[in-house]
Amino acid sequence: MFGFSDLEIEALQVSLKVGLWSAVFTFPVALACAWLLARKNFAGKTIFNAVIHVPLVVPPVVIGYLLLVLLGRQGVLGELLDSWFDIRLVFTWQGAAIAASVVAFPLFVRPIRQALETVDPRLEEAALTLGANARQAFFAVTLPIVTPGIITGALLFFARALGEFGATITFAANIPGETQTLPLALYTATQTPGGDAIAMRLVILSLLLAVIALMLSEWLARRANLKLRG
Amino acid sequence: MLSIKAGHRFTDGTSLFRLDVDLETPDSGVTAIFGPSGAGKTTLLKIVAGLLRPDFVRIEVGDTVLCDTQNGAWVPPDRRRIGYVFQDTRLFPHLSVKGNLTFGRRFNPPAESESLSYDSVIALLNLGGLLDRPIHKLSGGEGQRVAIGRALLANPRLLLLDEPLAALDDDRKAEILPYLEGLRHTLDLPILYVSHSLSEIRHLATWLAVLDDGAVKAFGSVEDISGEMDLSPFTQGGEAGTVLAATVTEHDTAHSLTRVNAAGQDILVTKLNLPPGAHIRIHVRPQDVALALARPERVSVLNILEGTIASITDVPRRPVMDVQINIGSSTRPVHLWAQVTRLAFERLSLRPGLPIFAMIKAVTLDKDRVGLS
Repeated sequence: MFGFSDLEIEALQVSLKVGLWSAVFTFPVALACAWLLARKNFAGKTIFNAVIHVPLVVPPVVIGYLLLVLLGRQGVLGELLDSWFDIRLVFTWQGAAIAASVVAFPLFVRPIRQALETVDPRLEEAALTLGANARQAFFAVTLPIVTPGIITGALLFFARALGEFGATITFAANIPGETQTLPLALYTATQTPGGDAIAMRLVILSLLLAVIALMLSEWLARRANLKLRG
Repeated sequence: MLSIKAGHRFTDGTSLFRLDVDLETPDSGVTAIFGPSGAGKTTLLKIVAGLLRPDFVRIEVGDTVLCDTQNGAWVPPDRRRIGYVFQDTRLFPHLSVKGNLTFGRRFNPPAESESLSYDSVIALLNLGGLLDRPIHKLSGGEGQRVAIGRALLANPRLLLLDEPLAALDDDRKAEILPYLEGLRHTLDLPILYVSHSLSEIRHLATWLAVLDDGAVKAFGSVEDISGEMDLSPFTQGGEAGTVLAATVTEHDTAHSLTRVNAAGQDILVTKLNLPPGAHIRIHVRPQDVALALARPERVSVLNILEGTIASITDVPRRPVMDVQINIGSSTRPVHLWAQVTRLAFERLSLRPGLPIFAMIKAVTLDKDRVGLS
């Protein structure tokens, strides 16, 4: 309708696929880390916290390079994955999703952790006396209360994952239809003579996606808050 | 029978607190746990509920042993079926009143034989009009009623109430007390009730356990313990005094008074709607009792009880003294506590063994202080 070419539509699809799948798979890990940081005291908590926040302060290219060293064909883990499970992550959209997840991870953890810290842990005690075991108490009481924090974290994570460039291009490369997300396609367009029109349409797509995600999360957060505070 | 034995040493670097409790209470009826702040009351309830795991514990409710460190038995808190009503309600903010009430049933479907149906709990606590309300729109008293209902609907075998009225003002207390009295007469399960106020206890409890410094200092009927022990150090500004057992003898309708008999002596109280022969309890606050060495004449005070001073509690630097008076006989003593100033104590030269007249104004014995036992 705006005369988007296949390349642009493909970039949008790759972006959505990478963003959504990384959000889905990262959520339980982010929740577990947020819970550990908010509720538990253990040896090495400071280091654990620092490791989680490293991607915020390290250049994404560094992350991408580290992923390559770790998960590349000759990487420590990559070799095992390849020979045991026949899984190759380099140059695949799954690799792009991993790169985006690692870079955006702290943005998912922080809002959940902050929300968890405001929930009175004694509510779970009350749930225990009513017959819920510790796991049920968490899922029936604490999790619904921190839903607004989870939505905020998911949005920040999704937005950052969509915008991921450095780690993705380093680890997963820039392959149209496979790992070429909107920012990578935009970068290619700006490097191509006469690519200005393509670049502008990619910018419009990126903005559109961002606005829709923002509105959706606002709406979800308001609904969750309404249920909580009326 | 409810039997609780627990021992634990708590240390937080600088201080040490030892809990060493051995308590046995009857199968049903309310046992009040009375004691100063830091005596270990809440700790004891948490141990009973299984929220704390002490060094040594053995708890038996009815015929069921819930935990016994000697043979490693341990029923986790969610399998104990012990209802816990917290001082701060701890209602779930993301659920409606109905969602809170039915929370326990999500994990334990109601048993065929359950003693309390959903409808009867709703009726007992008058929750019908609140069901769709969000939690943040409940008043303090309503919140506490919902919290009690939530605990009852989880089908408990024992109910723990941790100062459910402490956070409420006097009006809210008066609103919720009748519901608690209703529970006491309806429920056939043991209840432990932590309180600071003897007037609450007069309404609700049959038994009284005094907990101080981590140990049970006394256990018995409310009447016996309140007469034997000076409870004023334990009330933290709440109401101490004596709970007397009495029987209604006759009504003086013309003067709106009721004559009752306690320890063989007549006491006039404000008019009660109870038939002669009804067993009642009277809560006499120590500050409502005046003392005289000779029988006073031409005074407005209607109740003048004869007795003998049994003991005097003198806490240094405290401006008032607690005087224990035996208003029964020497073989069947019944004690009454009076509070007098140090000045009055010196002027009257009060001492144990001295015959004394205790005066109680009838107007202080109103429906807040007198009721069915």
